[in-house]
Order: sequence, then structure tokens, then C-alpha cells
Amino acid sequence: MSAIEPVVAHVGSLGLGDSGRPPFDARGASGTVDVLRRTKVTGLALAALQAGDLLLDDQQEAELITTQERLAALALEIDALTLRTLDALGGHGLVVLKGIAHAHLDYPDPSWREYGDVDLLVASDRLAEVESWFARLGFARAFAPFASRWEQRFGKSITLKSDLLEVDLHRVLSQGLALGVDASSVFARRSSFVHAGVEIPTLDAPARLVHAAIHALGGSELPPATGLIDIARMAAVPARLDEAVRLARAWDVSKTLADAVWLAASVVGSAGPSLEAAVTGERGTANERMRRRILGRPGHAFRNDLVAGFLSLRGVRRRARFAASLVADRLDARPELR
Amino acid sequence: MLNSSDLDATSPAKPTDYLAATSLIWRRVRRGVIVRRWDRNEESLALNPSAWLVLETLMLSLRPMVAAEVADEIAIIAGGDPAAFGDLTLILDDLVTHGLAIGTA
Repeated sequence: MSAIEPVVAHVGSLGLGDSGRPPFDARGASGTVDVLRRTKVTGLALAALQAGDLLLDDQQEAELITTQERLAALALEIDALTLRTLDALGGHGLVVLKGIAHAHLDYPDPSWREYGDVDLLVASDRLAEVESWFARLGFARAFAPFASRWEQRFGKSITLKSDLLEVDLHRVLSQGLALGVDASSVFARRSSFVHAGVEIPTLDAPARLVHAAIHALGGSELPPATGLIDIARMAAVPARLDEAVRLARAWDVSKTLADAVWLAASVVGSAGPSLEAAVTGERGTANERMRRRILGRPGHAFRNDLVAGFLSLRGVRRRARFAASLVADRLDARPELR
Repeated sequence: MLNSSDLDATSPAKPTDYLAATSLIWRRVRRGVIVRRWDRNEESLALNPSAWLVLETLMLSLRPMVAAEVADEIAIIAGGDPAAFGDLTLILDDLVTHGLAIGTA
């Protein structure tokens, strides 16, 4: 894992018990705004600049202002697409995940949280309908299905792309390909808020925190800065963290949550002593530790995801279905092997 | 030859009451706010702080407002003398032209 840039960590902790700290002086440091753009924290950086918590020279400031406007316009495009989708399809069987939900619910101003795509959790009985809605808007699959029968039963998500935007349709909340959290228990944590006249279904706050942790620790790379900042901010509310710990145990990701909260606190900033008490001693189940070992291997590839996915399934019957659907798809692709 | 009643019948009446569109979404930027409607396939518009203050005042109101009422509300929110704001009709009409507000005669 490579380290997060100090300027990103500094602006990411804006408002997290940081009163009285010295400002971060980035004047004259080349590439600063480029780093802020790549890590999608220009909105936070602008807020830090306005609060006197970040120092930039005139050229950097002008560059930051222009870059943040561009990313803010992109966020509005993504919001508009999401709202049009919910208005047309209704929210039943859908949950808006990640960027949009965090921006509107977990930050004092949505301009502080940038994002580059739409993430929707879609109930299995609506997946075809939702995919064809996006197809009518000009979106197409970014990747051919790895194995269609297997994907229908065990696949994690479908990525759709248009010229400008990307949409991820998630079938499950998962860690790599492993651990598909039971969909009914995820939909049981549905909450909603109204934005510009449209009801947006999302996860409640503890479930958003647990999902952010699952997403952050789904691989061997350092998670995106925005993900760690989300976690640090959400975990700063003790009651929410306590409930998230209980939910993470039920979803078999308690070690994942504990590690993600610690990582976020160490990278972005500590959320205080309640954090330590809430997550200390979470060892997770043997199954979770196995998943984390495989997915956390440096340079882990798709086959590692497959192995972790197979091993994470409980029961011989489910593992047999996993293997059989994979083999059947491979044989379909290469009939000479039959 | 057109008479005045023909003009009244064919020209759009000038709005006197204004209401914000309900489908507005926006983000704060250094130079003001960028805003758009989610139900229209149009690009975002950049509003300077003054125009945003007018639009935000409309958004906070549950009923249509005339220009003088908008000025009174701004004076309460931001302070100052409503008379000093001048006629807000130009800004309000501009917001209507761009679909961000709805004007009724």
C-alpha cells in the first residue's frame, strides 16, 4: 500500500476535531492541485482554503477553483442521472450507494464530497429492467460477462458506460467476489432522503459505514482517499459506530470494519477514544480472516477473488453450484472441450 | 394592423410572481454556485453570489413571490435596506429564461 499524500490527509480531516491546528502550507509545491483532483478532494480543499486551513499560491488557487468547478459540474451530472432514474423507475428494489449518499448525508455541504459514477444496489428481480433503462440512455456494458450463468448467480456488479458517465449496478455488497451479504438483510437497512423532489433510497448511517469499510478493504491497494475520509467522518459519531459494529458482526465483516476504521483514523485523523473502545478486539470469524488474507495479498488478481469467493461460501451445495456454473460457462465458451 | 389587444394575446405576459423550479440541484464553487435542473438535459449554469441569493430566497419560499417580497426576504437573511438592492426583476426574469425559476403573470 502506498501512502496517501499529506495534503490530501490534511484537507480530508477538515472539521474532525482539528480546531487550532496550523494550516497546511502547499505554496509552490508542484502538482498539488493535480493530486487533489486525482483523489477527488478539491471541494474539501476549497473549503480548507476558505477556512485558512490550506495555503496555496495564486496560481494554485486559480487552478483549484477551475478544477473544483469542473468536478462539481460532473457531480451534478451524476446526481441528475440518478434522480431521473429514480423518478422514472421508482425506488423499489434500489439503493443508492456511496458518493451521492455520503455527499448529501455525511458532510456539512455536498460540495465537500466528489464522485465520478452512479452506484446502485439493484434487487435481482429488477436488474434486467434497470440495465435496459440505462441502455436506452446510451449506456453499454464496459466488460463482457466473465461467465454469464455464473455471473447471474454469483457476480458482484455490472459496469455500464456512456461517453461521459459510468454506472455500477451492484447485485450484492461484497468484498472482492467473496461475501455477498444476504440481499434481504441489506434491503432491511434501507433508509431514504428527499433531494430536489425525489425520494432517494439509501442505506441507514451504520450500514453506510459498514459498506464503506467493505468497499475500502476489498483489495490489496490503499483504498481511495474519499472512502477513508467517509469512514473517518462517519465513525466519529460514537452511537453510529457502536451500531455499525453490531451490524458488521451480523454481516460477518467485523474485522473488516475494525481495520477500516483504524486505517481511516491513522490516515485521515482520529475520531477519539470511543473509536478505540468500539473496534478493539474485533478478530472476525475464521471465514472473514481467510477472505482478508486472500484479498489482501499484494497484486491480487481476479483469480484470487474467485478463490476467496469460492471459499467464503458456506455449505457444500453452494460451493458445488459456484463451481458447476463456472465450468458450464467455460464449456459453453469452448465447445471443443465437451 | 395589430392593435393592443392583439399584442396582449400573442406576446408572453411579463411575470410578476416568481417561484423556484422544484427540480434544482446545485454545488457551491468559489465564484458562487453551479446549478441545473435534473429533469432537463441541459448543462449546469454558473450563478454569481447575488443571483444565487435571489434563487435561494425563492427556493426557501413555499409560495410565489413578487420582486419586492424577494428583496424584503433578502434584507432579513443578509441584512441591509431592501431599497438598496434595486429592482430584482432583471435577475428574476433571467432565472425564468434559464428555467431555474417559474414566472407567472
